[in-house]
Amino acid sequence: MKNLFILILLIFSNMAYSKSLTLWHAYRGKERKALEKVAIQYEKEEHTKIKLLAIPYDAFDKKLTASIPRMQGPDVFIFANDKIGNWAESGLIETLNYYFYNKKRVFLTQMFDTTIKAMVYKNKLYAIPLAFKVPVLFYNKKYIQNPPKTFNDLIKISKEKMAKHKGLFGLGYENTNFFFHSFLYFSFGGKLFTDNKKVLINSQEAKLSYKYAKYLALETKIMPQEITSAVLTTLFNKNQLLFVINGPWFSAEIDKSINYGIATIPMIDDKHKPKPYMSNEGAFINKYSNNKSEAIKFIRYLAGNKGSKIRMTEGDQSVSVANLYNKTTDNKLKAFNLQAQSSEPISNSSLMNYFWAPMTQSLKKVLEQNISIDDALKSAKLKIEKLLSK
Amino acid sequence: MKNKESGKKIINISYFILFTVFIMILQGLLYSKTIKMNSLNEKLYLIKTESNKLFQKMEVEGFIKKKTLQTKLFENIIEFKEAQDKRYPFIYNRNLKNSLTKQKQLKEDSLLDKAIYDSCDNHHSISKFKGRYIIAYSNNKSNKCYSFISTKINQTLDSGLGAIWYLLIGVILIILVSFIFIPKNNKNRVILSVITILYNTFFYVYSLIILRNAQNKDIENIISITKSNLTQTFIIIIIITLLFIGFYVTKLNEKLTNTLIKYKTPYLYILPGGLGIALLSFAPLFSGIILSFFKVKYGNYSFTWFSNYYDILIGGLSDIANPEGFYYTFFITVIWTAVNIFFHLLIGMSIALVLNKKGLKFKKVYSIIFIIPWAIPNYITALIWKSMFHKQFGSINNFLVFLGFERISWFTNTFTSFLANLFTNIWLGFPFMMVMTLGALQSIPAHLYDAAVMDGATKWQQFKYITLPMLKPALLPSIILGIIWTFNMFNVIYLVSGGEPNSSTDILITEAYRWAFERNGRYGYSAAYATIIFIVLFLYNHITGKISSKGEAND
Repeated sequence: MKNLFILILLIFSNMAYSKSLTLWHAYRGKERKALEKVAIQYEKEEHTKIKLLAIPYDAFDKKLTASIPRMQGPDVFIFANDKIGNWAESGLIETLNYYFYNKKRVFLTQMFDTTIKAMVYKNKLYAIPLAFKVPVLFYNKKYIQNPPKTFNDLIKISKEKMAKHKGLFGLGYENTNFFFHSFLYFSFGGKLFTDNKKVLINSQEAKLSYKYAKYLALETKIMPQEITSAVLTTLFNKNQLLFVINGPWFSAEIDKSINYGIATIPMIDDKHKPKPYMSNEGAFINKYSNNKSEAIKFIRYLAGNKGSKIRMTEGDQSVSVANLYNKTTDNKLKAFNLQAQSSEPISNSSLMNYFWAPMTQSLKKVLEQNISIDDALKSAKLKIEKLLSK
Repeated sequence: MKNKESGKKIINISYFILFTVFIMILQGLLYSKTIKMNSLNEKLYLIKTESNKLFQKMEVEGFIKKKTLQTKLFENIIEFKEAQDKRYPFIYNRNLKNSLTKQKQLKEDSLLDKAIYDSCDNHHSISKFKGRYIIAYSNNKSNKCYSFISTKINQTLDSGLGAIWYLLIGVILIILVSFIFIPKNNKNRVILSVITILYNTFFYVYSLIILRNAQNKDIENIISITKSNLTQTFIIIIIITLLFIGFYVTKLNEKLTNTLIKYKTPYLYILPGGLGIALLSFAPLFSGIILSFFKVKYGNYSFTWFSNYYDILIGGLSDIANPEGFYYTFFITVIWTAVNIFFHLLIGMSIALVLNKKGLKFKKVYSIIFIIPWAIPNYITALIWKSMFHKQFGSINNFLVFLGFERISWFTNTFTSFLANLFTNIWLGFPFMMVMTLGALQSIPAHLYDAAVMDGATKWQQFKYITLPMLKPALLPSIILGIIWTFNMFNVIYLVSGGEPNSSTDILITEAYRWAFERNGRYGYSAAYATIIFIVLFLYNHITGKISSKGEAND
């Protein structure tokens, strides 16, 4: 009887929050803690229970596409923008034009334009941008104090230091992964596709970027071979790597004993400014959710000034609210912000899915298997066109 | 005696007649639903043409006043103007002056308001909202968009629940009939009722799914969807009826009931285990097989008969030279399995023979050392080997340099990449064969060897005529098991070579994984691959089972 009483009490205590929202995210570590803090603060202020559920990044898309049509999905979820095309086409996510453009447009004017455009698909807004992630240059302060301004400097410094210290490498980035090759690809003016499914990867600009990647990997002799993320982490943590081009998540993998700095990626030459891929995280609303107005309210809080401040200071996130960067003293966040000004938002078209694997394969062919750039890009183009025609 | 048998036949025939009549009723119901959908579509057609006419009129004359809205089809027409905000050129503003709606009315249902607002985001769209249709037309030249909101159309598709009564009546009827016509002592009575209920539940759920699917699709596609679904239903019904008839013709039902009653207790004992296997093994297996008949493109499933199998075995994926093609991968898988098993056996057996020597010191230490590769989880071993094969930092290349060779880039060449996989899996696989051989060796009676020595047999002759034949019965099952494991050794391929270069070292199981999770979620292909793997292994098992049982019989 006593137990029953406690049980009833428990049930009722849970009902103190009359409203509740479920939120799925793929955050870990600091970012997760910051999000939890925002949720707790919101619960206090608005008396709405926020149920957070962390889902592994790789499984996120599969879980969403399986659960939302069966009415078991979250009300709100946070994820990168590159799947918007697919989700919108299969009717999983709610359009937000009505909520954010109908009357008040002030809310969105405080965000970076590029981050909002990343959330628009076929003239509809599908998510509210929260944070962006862009690759930058990490450098080891044990060897150098000021980051280089051009790639020629970077190569020169690397060669000098490598001559002095045995076992040291100059530059490391995952050069066979198209995501990281992007800073060269878009710098030389390469394009992927047009709206009417025309594949443009066989262009002169794309070939130039491959040529430069080949030059970096094979001729300068400042890079390790067969680079994976594990190789980068190990070498950098052993003080055996001077520069790494990687995203903000790399900070979490760096050992506490390493003194490192973050800067924008140096100029490739006078004409070519690096343009790495920028991925944008946004808050989405489930099309089948029953609490849409509550969800909108929470998103406004999460993406607005209050929520963004917590995510920025506690979670080290590069948030999408522009004016917060004027006040911050964190040089690392400033570097991310600066790099974002010169970046290429990942396309959220559903066509994008057909490009990742063939592009990465073509890079492997050029950089590791000694196949000519022309042949590699030609076969990649054929492969993509075959996939698109199906 | 004769009378009884003929009586039975009559009962069976009458049952079938009833059964078919019942199915016909069900089909009639479903067809009547399509007719309903047809009438709905007619209304939609009217709304479309009428709104189009009005839109053209408005293009010429400007906005239409409420009085001129003679037709009863529409409740409202709202005009939107493109926003002047250059930051977001894709936004429309509602032009309140030219709206026929009173703002209050719309406020009542903010979701309807949203649906109307959203309709103008697309240049030409038809959307459905709570029984209303919202049709939007826009003109790029005048930067205007008009939303036509239809009156509520009460007829909805969601009448699937109504069908349950027909089904219930049908079930009750059949149970009654079977109870009346089939004599009390006949076990068929219960079985018939159970089967009927099961079948009807299946049918009911299936028809609900059809209706649900039809609802979620575009309005214009409803008819074609229902029609194709109905033909599918029809085919499924025929198959089930044939099965049902087959059940009776072969008298399987009587055999089944007889054994069930005869061996009641043992069946009860295995019931929990059987249920577990049914849920954990058979259910996924069958859902996988069913999935292999569907084409899946980003969450949309469409039934395509054998097209996945056609693509894989005959069509686009059958190219032998293409590393992603089926036959190439199959070839690699067979070679992979054969070479692996050969080395597993060779190394495992040799070590076991050495360890089995009498008087060998530290025997236990050795056997523990040799079992270690088996004891460590295989993905950890695979990851360690992967890092050992790194061109610049891997210990294998360092060793090669120490010996005076050049560094090898292991994963850029099909042959070396395959070798890397092979080394890893040999390391992982030999301890199993060693343990099995060791166990079998210890059960060979020593007096056989004593007799052989007396007869002057050499060591080789002892091995050939005593050891090998005595090992055979113990080793055969482990070889069969080893082949199945290696055939599906996902972890090593995926983690060590990852299919590199260009998925030329992938085996069937990793290829199946890639179709599902790395190539845009093509679950249909993936399921078809898995089914083919299942069939191959099933046939292999069947054949080897027959051969080995023949061998034993010959012995």
